[in-house]
Amino acid sequence: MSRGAEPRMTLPTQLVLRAMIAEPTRQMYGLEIGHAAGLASGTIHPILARLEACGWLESEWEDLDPHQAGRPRRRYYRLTDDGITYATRALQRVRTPAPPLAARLIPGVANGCA
Amino acid sequence: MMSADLSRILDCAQVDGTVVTTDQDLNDLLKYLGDPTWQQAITTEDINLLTTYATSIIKNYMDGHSLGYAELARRMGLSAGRISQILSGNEKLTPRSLATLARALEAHAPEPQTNAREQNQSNNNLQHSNTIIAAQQLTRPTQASIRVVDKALAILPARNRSRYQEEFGAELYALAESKASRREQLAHALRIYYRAWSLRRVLKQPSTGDEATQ
Repeated sequence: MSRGAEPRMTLPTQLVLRAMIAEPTRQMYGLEIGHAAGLASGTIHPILARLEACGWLESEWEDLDPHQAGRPRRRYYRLTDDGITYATRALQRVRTPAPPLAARLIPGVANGCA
Repeated sequence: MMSADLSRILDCAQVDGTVVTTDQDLNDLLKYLGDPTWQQAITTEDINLLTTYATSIIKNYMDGHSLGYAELARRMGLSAGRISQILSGNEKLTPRSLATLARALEAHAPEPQTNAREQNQSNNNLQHSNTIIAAQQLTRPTQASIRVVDKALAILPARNRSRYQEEFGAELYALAESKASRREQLAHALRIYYRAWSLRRVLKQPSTGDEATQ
């Protein structure tokens, strides 16, 4: 997947993006994102990696000395500016319901003049 | 590689924060284990993955139905010690032995009350362990969850392992700190394990792996 390409908008991907767009400037680590997206913990890393590869997300280590804290550092994710723009657009597109079948089959129905 | 059915089983229903293996989960697992196409297509990695998952599901089921090692051993015609060894996860199981194990669970006893002695003998009994863990105020991840995450890391490309070792490790610590039960931690680790193949595919794509090594 090349940088800038749009990721496949699977349902879990949409849930992750919606959760992150709800608070676009907040940095969250994996468990928090999964929780906010309503997905089972431990399931979202492939999605995060894909979104990061597309340039929609960026991530950085928690500012912490693991030896002093006695635990590993968390990896915090945030939407990039591009990510906010493209994800908002992509989510709007997938949300748009398909026009009624009749409107597509019979020209004019969509305009209410059939 | 993995069927949607198995994926669903392994994502066990979560009720009030507790992972529950239902009769339906077990039946789905049995169906999956009995599927000849799966048995032909399976790789060594699949067996490792499935062993971890199946033993977890089975242990979970035994726990939920108060089915002890002794009773399971009786049904399989093996010793309780042998069952404990099989379910410890330290033994690589074949699809056939997993299927045998699963079949032994098919008709669980209507009144499967295990006595106190059996409970004490079953060192790996999750319910028993949970009681101990609760008393110890768990703040470090369980060894079982760490082991499963280690297995997941082995699936990832070598150059990405150190990053994900720390990232996954931090999540396990956060779960442990939030007083997640032993079972919840294992379920989390198993989900990471199951998704490691998808993550590997993403990381193998050109341009992905570099940023994920940092």
